[in-house]
Amino acid sequence: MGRRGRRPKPQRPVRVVVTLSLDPVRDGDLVEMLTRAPSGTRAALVKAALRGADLRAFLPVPEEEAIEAALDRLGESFDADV
Amino acid sequence: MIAIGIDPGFGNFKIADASGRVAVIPSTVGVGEIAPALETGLGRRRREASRLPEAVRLGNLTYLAGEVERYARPADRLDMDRFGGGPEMEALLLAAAFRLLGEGEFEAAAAVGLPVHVLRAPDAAETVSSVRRWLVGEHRGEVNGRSFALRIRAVRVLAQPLGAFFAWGLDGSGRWARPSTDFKARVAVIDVGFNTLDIFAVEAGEVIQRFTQGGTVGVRRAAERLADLMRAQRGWAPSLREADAWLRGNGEEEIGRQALETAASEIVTFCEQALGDTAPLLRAVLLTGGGIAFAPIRERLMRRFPNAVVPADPVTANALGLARFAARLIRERKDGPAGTEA
Repeated sequence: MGRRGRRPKPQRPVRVVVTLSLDPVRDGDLVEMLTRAPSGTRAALVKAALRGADLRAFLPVPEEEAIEAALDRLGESFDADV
Repeated sequence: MIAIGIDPGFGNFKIADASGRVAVIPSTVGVGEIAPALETGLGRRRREASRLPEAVRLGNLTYLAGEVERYARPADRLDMDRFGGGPEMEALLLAAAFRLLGEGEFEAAAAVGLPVHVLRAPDAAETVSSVRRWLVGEHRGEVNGRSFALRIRAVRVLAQPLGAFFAWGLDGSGRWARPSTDFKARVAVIDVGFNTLDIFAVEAGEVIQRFTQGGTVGVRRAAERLADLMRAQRGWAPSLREADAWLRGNGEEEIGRQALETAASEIVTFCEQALGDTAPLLRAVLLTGGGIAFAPIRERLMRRFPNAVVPADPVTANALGLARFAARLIRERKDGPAGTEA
């Protein structure tokens, strides 16, 4: 019987543990971003931030904004803008 | 700039603004004039109370729009081409907008509702384009001897029943005003017009195609049935318009009730087939359109769909909701590029 599961990578990953001590006021934006990041995406968010990416894509869309966007799409169901 | 909703129905042409004002005018136009003796001294309110048509002067011709039967031969246009404009539709638009806004010059963003089956037809894109070509720009004329102009800056074409959904859920600025759970839930709209019956279902801002259907099983069936019954019983058959008007005034009479029950059965059957087994899963079934004003049709639908919601005025609910959506177009224009301007 063959080997099951994901094949191991040729190199072992380098595990880096960084402990952040964040000021709730001065670093409030970072606290919010890290605590609101969906489960399992925090490490990807930090890696993207280190590479200078736009981090808004990692954040869940507030409900009101999601409804607004859905209403716009609904209004375009039969009539794309000219 | 004002936000207006336009619901150009086969029975009535409805127009509303986002503040909740509405105007309704029968979708009937004829060429002619009202005798000056009848017209003199009549203000807007007196004119409406007297059910006089609006006299719309376009170029060299005067059209009568609205309650024209007593003054001119009405030109009924129940074909789909009418949505592209033409002098009759232009006269109706000016007459309805004048009833809503009064004398003056106005700028507007407009949301227009078309029947579902028109928007699902193979030539729907062409129809939408022709509606845009007609509406975007200036509409100027003389109504009852007074100058009137409506400059429409942005237009969005929507399915008519979406108007009822927006009337149910949006506030005057076009923002969602109900709990977010209502937005996420599955909601259906049953829109009974004179010539059309539209079923529409929405869930979390998505149209559910499976439960969205349009047909031509409207109040017209009751009018046709009434004409048949009258021909058989009284030896005289009214026109469809006359039959519709007669039903609105005499629907409780046996012959009227019989005609309406026939139409109600067909309408309920169509709705049952369209909504199928999703009915118990619906948060609300919004009943809208002129057909809902008839008790036999409304009551049969309410018995079949216990979660039915009837708006305060089902005749104008679509126009009102479309106007609230048009308020979003004005916000878009303020916030950034709208992309809807011609």
